[in-house]
Order: sequence, then C-alpha cells, then structure tokens
Amino acid sequence: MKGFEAIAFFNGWRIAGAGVFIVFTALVTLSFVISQLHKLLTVWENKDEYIKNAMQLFAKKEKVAVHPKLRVSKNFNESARQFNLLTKSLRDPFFSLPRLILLAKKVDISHPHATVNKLIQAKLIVPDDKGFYYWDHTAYKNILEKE
Amino acid sequence: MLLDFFANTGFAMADYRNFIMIVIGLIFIYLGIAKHYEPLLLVPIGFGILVGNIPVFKGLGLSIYEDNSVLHYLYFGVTTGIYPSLIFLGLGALTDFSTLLVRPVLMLLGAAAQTGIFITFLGALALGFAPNEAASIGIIGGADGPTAIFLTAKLAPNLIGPIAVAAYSYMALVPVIQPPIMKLLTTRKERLIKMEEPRTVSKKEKIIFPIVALLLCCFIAPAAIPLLGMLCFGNLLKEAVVTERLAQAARTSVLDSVTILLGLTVGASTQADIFLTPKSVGIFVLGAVSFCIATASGLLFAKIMNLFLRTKINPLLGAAGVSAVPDSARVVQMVGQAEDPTNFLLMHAMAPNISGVIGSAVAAGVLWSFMM
Repeated sequence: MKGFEAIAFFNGWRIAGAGVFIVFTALVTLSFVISQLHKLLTVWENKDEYIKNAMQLFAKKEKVAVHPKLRVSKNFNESARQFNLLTKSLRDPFFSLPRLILLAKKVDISHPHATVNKLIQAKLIVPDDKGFYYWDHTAYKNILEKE
Repeated sequence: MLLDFFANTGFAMADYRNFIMIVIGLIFIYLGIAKHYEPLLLVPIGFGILVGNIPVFKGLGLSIYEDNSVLHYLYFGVTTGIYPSLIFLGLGALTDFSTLLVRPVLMLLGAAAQTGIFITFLGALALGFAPNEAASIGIIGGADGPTAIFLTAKLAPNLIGPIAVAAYSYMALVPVIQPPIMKLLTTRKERLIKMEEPRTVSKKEKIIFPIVALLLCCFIAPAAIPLLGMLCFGNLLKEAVVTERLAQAARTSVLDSVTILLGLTVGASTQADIFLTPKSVGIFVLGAVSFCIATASGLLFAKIMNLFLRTKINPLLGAAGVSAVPDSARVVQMVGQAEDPTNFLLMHAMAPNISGVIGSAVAAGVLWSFMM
C-alpha cells in the first residue's frame, strides 16, 4: 500500500496534525510562561514593597469603613442629640444649612448631609421660609420622651 | 591447514558490499579529520563502520549483532536509549539558555521547524514504510542525532544504522544544505534586519527555566521525559552553580565517553547486508527532504511572524530552528554577515536552535506515544 491510501490507512493525517499541534502547544505555552517569568521574579524580589503598598491601600479602606467617627449612626436619636448640641453651639437660633453641615464635618459627624436630611424630614430642623432653618426644641423633647 | 586458516579470515568472507561500506567509513573519517565536519561524531562513526564491516565468522561472539559480543554489550546503550539520554544530560550542562529567555517568541521558530518531521512522516508512509519506520525516518528532520537514535531504537531498531548515519551526515552537512535554502526563501532586505540588543537575564530565571520547561513540556508529552528530563537536569546542574562539579562531569567526561561509545557502536551497526539496501537509499533521500523542509518551515514561519510583529526579526533565524546546535546558528551568522559584516546574529540564532532541541525531543515523545 502506498501513496495517499497508505497515509489514510495508517491515520497519517491525524498523527501529523496532532503532532504539530502538540509541539506548538508545548512551545507556545513555554514561551508565554518564560515571557512572564522575569516580571514575576521582579514582583517576588520587591515583594516587601508590594505588600506594604497593598497593606496601605487596605488600611485606608479600613479607616473609611471602621472609623468610629465616620460610622453611620443607626440611632436616629443619637444623631438628633448630636445636632441639638451643634445648633446650641451656633448661638443664633436661625442658621443656614451649609453652615450647619460644615460644623458637622468639623466635629467628624458621619454623613452630615444624609443626617440633616433625615432631621428635616422628622421636622426637627424646620425652614423659616426666609432661607434659614431653626431647631424645633418641642419636637426634640417629644423624641426624648418617647425614648 | 593454511587453506583452513585462510577460509576463516576476513578476506575469504568479504564481498563487494563490505568494501563499499569500508570506503564510506574512510570518507567519514576523512571528512571529520581533514575537513573538520563534526569530527567528534564522524570520526567515531567512521571508525565504527570500519569495525562493523570486517567480515567475521558467525557464532564466535564478534559481531555487534551477536548476543555475547563486546560490541553487543556496548550497543546496549543505543538500543535501550541510554546513550542519547546521557548525551542530552551533557548537552544541557553545556547550553546557556539566556538567549531563549531574553526573547521567548523565538521559540516558535523551533516549533515551526519541527513540521518537517511530520511532513516527512507522511512522505515515508506514502512510500510504503510502516508507521513506526516512517516516524523514525521523519525524526531525521529534527537534525538531532541523539533524538533520532533514541526514537529509532524504540520504534524501528533495525533501521538504527542508516537513520543514525543519515541524521549525523546531514548535521555535518548543515553548512552545505542550509545556505541555498536560506537565500532562496529570504530577500536581501530581510537578511539585513538587525536584532535588538538583549536584556540581561538574572540567575534566578536561568535556574527556574529548566524546572518550568521540564514540568510543562513533560506534562504535555510525557514520552519526552527521557530526553527532555536529562536536558533540563543537565542545565539545572550548570545553572545551580553549587553543583558545578556534577555539571563539569556531565559536559566533559560523561558526554565524551558516551559520544565515543554511541558513535562507534552506531557505526559498527551499519553492516553491509543491513545498510546497503533500497530502504537505506529511501531513508537517505527522505532524510534530506526532511531536513530541507524543516529549514524552509522555520524560515517561512519567521516571515509570517514578521507580518504581526512590530519589531521585526531577521527571518534567517528560522533556519536555526533545526536542532543542529550550534552549527545552524553559525550558518545563520555566516549568511547574515555575508550581507552585512556588522550584523551579529549568532547569539540570537541560538534561541531557536535550542528551542529546536526541545521541540524535536517533544516531537519524538509524541511520535513514540502515538506508535506505542
């Protein structure tokens, strides 16, 4: 048996095709791994620096997440107490919201905008229709009594 | 009594084929010593041809094919694949893989050159050779003597003589066979391409490479373990520095001893009645075809790669994808410098050259596993 018949009979095409494919796969894979090797070694040799940078990044995120001053107060009443004290420190019963929020940020109250919004919705901070706001002490006393 | 004595001499038992083989052996020795064509291989092989073709009386344990002969015991290392594996150990301890690590993409040229093996495999099947014989003939295209002997010992031990002689002959004739193909398939402008200066390779890379290469390639083709395993081991011994004594032994005494025994016994196995057959002629022709296709495949693949690469590579490097280390790389350097004497391609050509060694070992493992 000779010629193409012999090749087909002995699965020559498949063997040749598979052989070329396997050789190429082996060398392409090796080539890729080797091309990344010096980069991996660079990372390994400077691993202390990389770990330090990663830790710093993680630590910053942790601060943002767990700093007690920045933690969102789940207790609305606690927020109300904090802002009650803030409004008293303003001395003027009528105040602007930006000034109140700025003061809240200075004393590290978390999420001052959202908290002020809740207090407005709860009618503890009331608009005076002249662009300013005031603290409703009556409403605040009612909240304290409910506690 | 004198007549009886004469009847037992080689003169009485010789025929014309013995003399033909003796002449071939003398030519090999001449090429090795006078022309310096691969002398470390051609001289032992040539001498082995002389030894193997002195007619002897069968039954006295003198012929290499008789079980209790000295030559037969030495030949054991060839038939079992021990010698090729030990040669790869020495080769690994000799080789610097830096150029390969600097530009791993050149490994693909070594892969492309191995297509010659499989195309010749198909050609040998078409000519009527059995699949295991066709695989042994195809591997000649890898231009790697130890690999060719290893695979032939496993698949077609009856063809070791002609295949080994063909493989080593074409390895020795690399400076003659390759340049015309290189000039035919490349333009002058391509031959003038200069390669970028390589970066420095760290010691750690050189140590990690043989381990990674072994694990990766042998997981893909486990049958390549005897050859690739020894190549990687030898290289690790070299690069580890702490095992320099072992590396030194591997690349000197072990390699040289095995080369002597391999060459001598392979040459001795080319007895006239086994070697001078139409099959051997077919093997030599197919071996030449395989070698030419391997060279052309590497060159053409380099040209194809240049279609996609921003930094072009000199396509002459593709010819070094055959694993005739370091002769192919030297030929690339020679052809490149013929166009531009300031173009130094030798170290760049070593990358595909070494990749060709790995590729031919993987190809041999693949063929062996398919034929098992």
